[in-house]
Amino acid sequence: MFNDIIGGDWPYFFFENLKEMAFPFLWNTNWPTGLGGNQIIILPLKIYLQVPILIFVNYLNIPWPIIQRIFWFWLAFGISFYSGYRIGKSYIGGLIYATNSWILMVIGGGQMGVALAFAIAPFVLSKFIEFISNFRTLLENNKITQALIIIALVLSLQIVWDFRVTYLTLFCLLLYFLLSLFLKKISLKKIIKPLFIGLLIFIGLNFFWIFPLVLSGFGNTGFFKESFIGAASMKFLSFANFSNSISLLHPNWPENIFGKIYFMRSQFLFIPLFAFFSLFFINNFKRNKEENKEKKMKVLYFALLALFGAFLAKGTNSPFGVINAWLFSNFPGMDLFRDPIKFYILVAIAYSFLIPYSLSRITGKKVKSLYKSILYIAFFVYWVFLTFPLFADHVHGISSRKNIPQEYVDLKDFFYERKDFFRTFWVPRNQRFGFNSDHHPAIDAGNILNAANYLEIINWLGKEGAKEQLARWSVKYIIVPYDSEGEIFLEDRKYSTKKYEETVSALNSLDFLERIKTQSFNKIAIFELKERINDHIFIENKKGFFDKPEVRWVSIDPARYEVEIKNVKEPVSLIFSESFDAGWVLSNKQESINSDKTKDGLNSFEIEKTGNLNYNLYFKPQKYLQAGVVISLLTLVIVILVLIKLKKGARK
Amino acid sequence: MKSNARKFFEFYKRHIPEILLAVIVFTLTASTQDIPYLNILIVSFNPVLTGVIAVWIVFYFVINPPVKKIFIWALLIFLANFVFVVFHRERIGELIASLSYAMFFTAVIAEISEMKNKLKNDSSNV
Repeated sequence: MFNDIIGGDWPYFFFENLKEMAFPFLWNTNWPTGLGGNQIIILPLKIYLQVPILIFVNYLNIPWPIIQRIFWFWLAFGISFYSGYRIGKSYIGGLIYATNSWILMVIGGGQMGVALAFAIAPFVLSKFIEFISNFRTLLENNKITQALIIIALVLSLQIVWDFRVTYLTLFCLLLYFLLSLFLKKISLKKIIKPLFIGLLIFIGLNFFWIFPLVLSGFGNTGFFKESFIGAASMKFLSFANFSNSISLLHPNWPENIFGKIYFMRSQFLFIPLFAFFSLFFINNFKRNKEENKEKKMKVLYFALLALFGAFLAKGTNSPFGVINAWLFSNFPGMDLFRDPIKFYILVAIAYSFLIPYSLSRITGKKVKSLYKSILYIAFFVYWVFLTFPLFADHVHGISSRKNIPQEYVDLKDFFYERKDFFRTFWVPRNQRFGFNSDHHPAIDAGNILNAANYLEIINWLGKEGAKEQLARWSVKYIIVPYDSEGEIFLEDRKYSTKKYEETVSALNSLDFLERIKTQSFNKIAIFELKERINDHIFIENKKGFFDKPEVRWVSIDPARYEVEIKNVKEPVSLIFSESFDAGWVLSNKQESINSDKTKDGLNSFEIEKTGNLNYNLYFKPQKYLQAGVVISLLTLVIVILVLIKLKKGARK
Repeated sequence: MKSNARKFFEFYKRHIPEILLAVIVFTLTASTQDIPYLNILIVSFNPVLTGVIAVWIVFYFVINPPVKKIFIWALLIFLANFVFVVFHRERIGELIASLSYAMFFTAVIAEISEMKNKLKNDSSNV
């Protein structure tokens, strides 16, 4: 009935990948470069991905194409429409929020975590605005806890999808909170305690990732990796200019080709005109003073939010790009937004309120419903006109497809049947259908060597020591992918046969490689290392002893191994061929050995004892994750029970 | 009946201090990038754009126009941006859009401050 959705950042899974999925571990053998890493920053999203696969695909046998639509694509669209509707109680708001050029580009690019987090942002904000507006009533009716629990629950769900979007949502909440304080809508004294309780609930619900993140050290996890890249990369990624950002026009609209920026489309300039037209009406209220003050405050708040969002989304472009660069380097959390285009979220939220508000005030109460309908229909037609490239099939990105290249299916079968541990080394990088698993991780050459292009990789492979390094990484096969999607070997954004052929011929000339010539792989060039490679866990032979101890190991899960070393006659170094992390420990009843970093960034354990030895090799922070999950689940159960009790109490 | 030239001259005479001030502020701000030490702060700014916005800020504080008028002018200026974009004069369009942005921003902040003053003695607040 449905085909797989393929394209952009949306991953493709073979049936074998789905079958092997379990509750994610903190250590991911495949991530980020193929040499393993602590995946705490992507863990919440991985849980959201893998748990439904585990339950619905593996146990209930519902096809993955259906599950991916329900849990990701349809959900993102449904929530964003409802959320956009809720912020201004208008279907036009829902339409603007769910179908603006920014979110369409995000979904088209397969960034579904961002899309889902974006979708729920106005819902969180509307709940918070309700909380502030009705604070006195909630306090009198003892409904503060209920309101706080709902906000904490929704925020927790959002942070699972994308923590950067949650940061932006929290910015929206903070701005509204500060404005309310400034206008004396609320008293800091009275609200601080409930907010603190809300924060505790939020921490409790998110303990499963906060706990291991704090205890395993932020530095080891690459949590602030983007900040190390520096403000220069922000300048490079500032694609949107000011006219784009204030018009809610994605700079890559409609083709969604990275770095390809289009001329400003004048038709989009009416969007801010519609939005800021709302400011004319803020002093035109006649009745119900309190309600009008509330409305005026909301209009001013959303106008301010749109202005902030447009300013931040343009990045280092004028006007005053230096302020953005300064904020990126100095303001806490801003370094998460190397790509400033995510600030479009603020503009989208604001316009979902301001435009419907302008439309409703232009028509007013005296105007006949016929004219009102005409205005709304006219706006709808205008919006359809803006999103026309979508219907004309000009928007590139994800698509629903039945078949994937047969070469990649054969390659998957070739690897899946092999029971020994080895890695594959993809030059210049893995293809979207390239198979990998915990037993056969795939290394992206460009990524691990930090190479700017394929020539640098070829150059590295020709150097002395490359063969030994590949063997230490347990690389058995080097693969040049068949670029079926035209995403890898590019010249001026078009597929280049020359680049592909140059890469294959360079690998052909390396004497430590032998090409596997099987017809079924067709254009996938596979080379095998001629000499024996190191195992996943091996003894370093730096002393050149003849009688090398024998190592046997069994993987219990990605974070736990059983290791047996036979015939140890003198102190040895045991190498675990995964990226170094101080969390790895080798222990038995007698001793516990911490990991040292080797020169090439692997884990090394210095063993002093001799004889036949048995050890457990485990990733220590994994137990923090387990404890965190228990606390989060307990908090969730308590919170749901409290909600049920409060609802029952309200009915009585 | 006064001639149009006479009318313009009278208008010019009436607003001569403001016009002079605007010219001075613009020249000073735009040339800041050539002044040692001061250009540490302003060197990466677009001098024309910064000059225009500086003139607007000074104009706002000197004249203090009603907020509604600012909104109307900001919208009209933004509409002018539309014309420039249609004729592919994006750089001028960008300049005009930035000025209208600065005007909107000033107006929103001014409106919030005014609202706070009005609410100051309102006993209905928590």
